[in-house]
Amino acid sequence: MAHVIQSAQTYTKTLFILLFLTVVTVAVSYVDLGQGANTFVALAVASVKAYFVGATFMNLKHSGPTNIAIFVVSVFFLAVLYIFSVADIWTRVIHAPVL
Amino acid sequence: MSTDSATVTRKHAHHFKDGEHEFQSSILGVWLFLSSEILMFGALIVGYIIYSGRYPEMFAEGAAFLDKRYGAVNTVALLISSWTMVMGVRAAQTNNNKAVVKWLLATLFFASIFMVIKYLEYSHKFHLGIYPGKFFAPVGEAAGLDASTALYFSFYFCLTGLHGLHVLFGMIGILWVLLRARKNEFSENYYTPVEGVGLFWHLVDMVWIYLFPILYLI
Repeated sequence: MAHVIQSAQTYTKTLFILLFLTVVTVAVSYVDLGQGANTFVALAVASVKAYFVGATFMNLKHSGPTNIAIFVVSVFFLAVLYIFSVADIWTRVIHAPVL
Repeated sequence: MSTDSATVTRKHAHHFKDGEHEFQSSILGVWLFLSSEILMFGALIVGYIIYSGRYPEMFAEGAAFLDKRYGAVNTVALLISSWTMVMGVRAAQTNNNKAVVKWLLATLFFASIFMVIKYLEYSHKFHLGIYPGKFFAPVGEAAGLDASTALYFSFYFCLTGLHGLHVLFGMIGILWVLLRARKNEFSENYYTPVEGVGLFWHLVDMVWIYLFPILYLI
């Protein structure tokens, strides 16, 4: 079978990147950037970490287009769920009872 | 060392064209399963984000009660276990069943560290009367927690409990692959179970990568 076998160094390098990003995210949590900015940085760092796990450890980089499509489509529909839920809940008008 | 002559040769199932066809189909199935996992955890996280946006003080009070250090150590343990897992897959791809066993044992070790710390965290909370839902009755140092933080802790127990169950099931999967590797079942021509369990394990890691900042840091 002609599967791409990645080198052990690639995996080890990825591990160190992930550990480094963990240190970054913990360090940033001690600095007050304002609620919104802290949340944004934490989720951005988490997404970079998720990219490395997906691309290298889960081998999506060398995987066929179908597997990548399944992953991307799941994340896309998660975004749809989020956007529609937030759009609904944040635009609700609460009416006080009239009776 | 890299070539294990005792490797069991295996014929692909009759409804597949060849071993490669079988491998690709199996991994596609694993990815479809992972897709349902992403949506399940994702829906819970969306619920968490919406509620924490509505009641920021309540969620901040709850999150302040968690110990970041436990969460950080658990993150490191899971990241290292993902690395040992992928090294195990690599060992299978290079016909080295002995190394597969070694790497999977290491993976189980780091997974156990994660579970032990989870146990310590849970027992500490239970000790202080912090239970999910209507059982929430904080005492001792937790007595000052507002009753509304019950919602935060319900999310906490639901998300980490479901994730913890996945770690346990992942460990069972790893043990299963480990026992098969001991029988020299894997080679460059057949390592589908190692790859499949590995993908599940990395997803469990990926979910934790999001749970850690969401629950402990923000």
